[in-house]
Amino acid sequence: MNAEMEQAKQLFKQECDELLQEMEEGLLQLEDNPQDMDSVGAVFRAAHTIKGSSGIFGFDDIVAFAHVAENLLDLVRAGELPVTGELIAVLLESGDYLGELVAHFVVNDERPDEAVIEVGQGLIKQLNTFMGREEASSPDTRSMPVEHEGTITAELGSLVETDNWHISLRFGPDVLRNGMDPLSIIQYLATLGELVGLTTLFDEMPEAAEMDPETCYLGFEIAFHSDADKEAIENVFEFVRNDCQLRLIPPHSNISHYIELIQALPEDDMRLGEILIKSKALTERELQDALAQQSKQEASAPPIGELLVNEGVVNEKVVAVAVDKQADTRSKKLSKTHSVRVDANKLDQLINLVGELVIAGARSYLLAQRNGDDDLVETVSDTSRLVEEIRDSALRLRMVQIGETFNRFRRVVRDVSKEMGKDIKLMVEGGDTELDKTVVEKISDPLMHLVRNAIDHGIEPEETRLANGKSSLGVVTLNAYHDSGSIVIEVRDDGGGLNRDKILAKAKDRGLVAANQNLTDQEVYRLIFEAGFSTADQVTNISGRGVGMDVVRRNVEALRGSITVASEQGLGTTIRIRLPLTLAIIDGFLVGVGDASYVVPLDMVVECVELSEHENDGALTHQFINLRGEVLPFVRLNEMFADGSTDGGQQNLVVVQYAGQKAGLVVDRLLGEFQTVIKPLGKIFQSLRGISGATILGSGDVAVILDVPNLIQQSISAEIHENVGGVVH
Amino acid sequence: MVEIKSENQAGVCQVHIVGDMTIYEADKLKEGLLSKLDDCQEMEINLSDVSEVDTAGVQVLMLAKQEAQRSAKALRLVSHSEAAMTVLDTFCLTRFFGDPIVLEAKAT
Repeated sequence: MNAEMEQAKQLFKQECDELLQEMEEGLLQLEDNPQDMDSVGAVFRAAHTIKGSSGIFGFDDIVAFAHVAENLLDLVRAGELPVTGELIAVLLESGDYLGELVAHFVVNDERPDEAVIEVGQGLIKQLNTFMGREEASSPDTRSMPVEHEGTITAELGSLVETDNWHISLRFGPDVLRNGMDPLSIIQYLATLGELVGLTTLFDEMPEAAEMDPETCYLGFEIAFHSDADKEAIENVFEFVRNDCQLRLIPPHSNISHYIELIQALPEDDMRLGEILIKSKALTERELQDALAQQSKQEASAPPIGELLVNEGVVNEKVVAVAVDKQADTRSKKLSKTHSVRVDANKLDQLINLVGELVIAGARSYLLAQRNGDDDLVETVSDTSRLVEEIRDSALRLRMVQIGETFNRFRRVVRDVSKEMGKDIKLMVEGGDTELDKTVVEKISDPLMHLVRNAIDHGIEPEETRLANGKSSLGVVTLNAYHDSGSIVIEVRDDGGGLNRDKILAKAKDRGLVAANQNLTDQEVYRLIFEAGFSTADQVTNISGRGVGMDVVRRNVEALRGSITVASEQGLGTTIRIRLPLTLAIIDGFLVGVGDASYVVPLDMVVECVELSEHENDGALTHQFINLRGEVLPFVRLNEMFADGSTDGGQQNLVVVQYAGQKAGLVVDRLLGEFQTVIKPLGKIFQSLRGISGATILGSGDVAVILDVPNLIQQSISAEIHENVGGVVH
Repeated sequence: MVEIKSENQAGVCQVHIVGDMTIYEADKLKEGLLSKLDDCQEMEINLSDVSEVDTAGVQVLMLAKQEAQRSAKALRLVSHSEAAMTVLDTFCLTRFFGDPIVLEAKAT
C-alpha cells in the first residue's frame, strides 16, 4: 500500500482513538447521570462517525460492529432504553473492542483472528439482547440480563408491528448509463422474498424539456418480507451501491428508525408517511404515535392547537423540528472544525525560533541602551513587548488542559475498583489547569501508577471503612493547580493513610534505614519511592509488586519536578507532584556573582533584601539569617559554585520560595528581569546539582539557570547540619 | 430497435410502439412520444408489440403521463404486452397510469 494510504490510515486511527475516548467519557458520565442526553448524543455521534470512516476504508468488521452499537445507542437516545450499569458495561467493552479492531486494521490488511471475531459476536449478541432483538439463530441467552427483561419489554412498546423489512432506495442519476437496471435489481430482490408493497417515486423527474431519458430519476419504498439476513439483502444492491442511497430497516424495528427515515428522505414528509402506511411498513396508529413522540420530545415545539386537526400539518411541524435538529448538529460540526491539527514537531520548531527571537531581541535591547539612542531604545522595547506576546501565545499553543488526561482515569478507577470489589468514585478538580503538552504526556503514566496505588492500597476494604465510621464509598481525587510557576498535581485518597511503622519496619528489614536512625514522617514516606519497596502483604495484579513508585519518582524528576507525600493515619494520603509549567522558556531574574551571571526563575523569587554589613558578618558563621523574625537559611552562590570571588561591595539576598519553603541566595548584583530560553545542558553537565540549564544573554555570555528546589534543599540541610559545619558543595 | 407509428382517429392520437423500450431507444421514444403529445388532446399508446421494457423505457412512459397530466390531456396505455405488464407490475405503476385494462396483481 502506498504512503498516502498509510497516512490516511494513521489519521483514521488517530481520529478513532479520539472518538473512542469521547465515547468512553460520555459513557462514564452517563453512568453517573443516566439522564444526560448530551452524553448519549456524544456517544452516539462517536459510534456513528467511526462507522462512517471505517466504511470509507472498507473495514467491514468495524462497520458491522459499530452499526449494532449505534442502533442500540439510537434506542437509548430516543429514550426507549433505560441506561443501566449493565448497558454501560457492555458499551464500554464494545468501545474497547472497536479500538482493538481499529488498531488491527490499521496495521493488517487481513481480517482479525477467529477469536477476535468471536469476541465481537459475543458483544453483538449482548447488544442485541438489550435491544430485545434476540436473533432466532442464537438461542444462547447466557448473557441475558434477566433482571432487566421486564423493563425492556415494557420500554419497547413502540416497536413497529410489521415483520417486513423496509427498504428505501434512491437511485443516482447515472445508474442507467452505468449499465445497471433498477428493474432487474428489484426483480432479483423479489426472488429472495415477497415484495409486500412497493411505491415508485419520481419526484425528481423534471419537466419534459429537461428530462434526460438516460438519467434515472426513480426511487422506491419497498416493504419486503423475507427470511434473508441483512447482508443478503444488502448484497442485492451490491452492484449499484455507489449509485444509490440504500436504507434498510429490519423487521420489528424501533419506530424511531422510521422517523429518521422520513426525515432523511428528500420527499415531502407527509407523503412519505402515507407511503409507509400504504406499503404496510407502519400502521396509521404507529405513525401517529411516532409523530406524537417526536413532538413530545421537543418541548420547544409551538403549541399544537388547531393544527392537530389534520395529520398533515402535524407532520410539517415534525419537519420543522427535524430541520432545527439538522441545523443544530451542523453547527456542532462547524465548531469542531475550528481546530487545526498541527504536527507537534512544527510546533516545537516554532517555539525554538521564538526562543532565538527572544535572545536576539534581548541583544538588540542591550545594544540600543549602550548607544543611548532614545528612539532606538523605544522601538526596540516595542519589539520586545511584541516578541514577549508572541512567546506567550506560542507557548500557549502547547498548553493543554489537564482535565482530558484526568478524565481518562475515570475508566481506570471504574474498572480497577470493580475488580477489587471496592466502591470508589473519582473526583476531578482543577481540570482546566493548563500545562505543556509534553509534560501532560509524560505525566500520564506516573499518574496511572499513583491512581492504581490509591485504589489498591489507599482505600481500605468496605468493612474496614464502615468499621471506622467512614462512608463505604471511597473517593480518589485528582487535583491540579498552579503554584509559583509550577503546576501541582495531587492524587488524594480518603483511605487509611500510610502506615509509618510498617514502612519503617520494612525499610529496616531491607537495610534501607539503619536500625537506630530517627526519621521524620516526610523521610519515612519518601521511602515508598525506593526501588522494589512494597509494604503490601499481598501482591495483587494491580499493584504491590514494588515496581512503580520508584518509576513514578524517576519520571517526575526527569521532568524537573518533585514529589511529596502527605498522609494522615485513618484519613488518607495525598501525593503531590510538582512540575514546571513549561520546558522551553521561563521568565527569569538575572543576578550577578563575580563575573558570572545566573538566572533564577522569576516565579520563585519572593523578594530581594540588602544584606547589611552586620548581617553579613553574622552570616559568616551561621548558614541562616534573621529575616523579620523568621529563620531563613541561605546559600552563598560564590561559595556554592566555588568561584569565591566577590565584588567586595554591597551584597544582596534573593529570597526564593519553592513548595512552601523559603531560602536565600546571596549574590553580588541584581540585574533584573530577563526572558530566558532554556538551553538544555550537554550530557556531561547533567549530573551537576543546583543547575537546571543554561541560557544565552543578550551580550552573548552564557548564564546558568539555577535549580532552586535543589538549592533550597541544600541550604536547608546545610542549616540542619550546621553543627557539623562546612559548606555544602 | 423501436418504431413509433401513429395515426389520428377522431381527435385521439393512436400511438403504436413496436419493438424494444430500452435505454438504447429512450431518446427516440421520448422525442417521439412527446412531440406527438404536443399535437393532440388525447393519446392512446398501444403496447401490444412492445417486446422488451427496462427502467429507462418505463421512465419515458411516466414522463409522458406526467406531461399529459400537467397539460390536462388524457393519456392511456392499452393492450399491454407481457413485457410491459411485468414492468408496470413490478414497479406498481398501474395505479399511476390509471388504465383499467390491467388488473392490480399485487397489493399496493
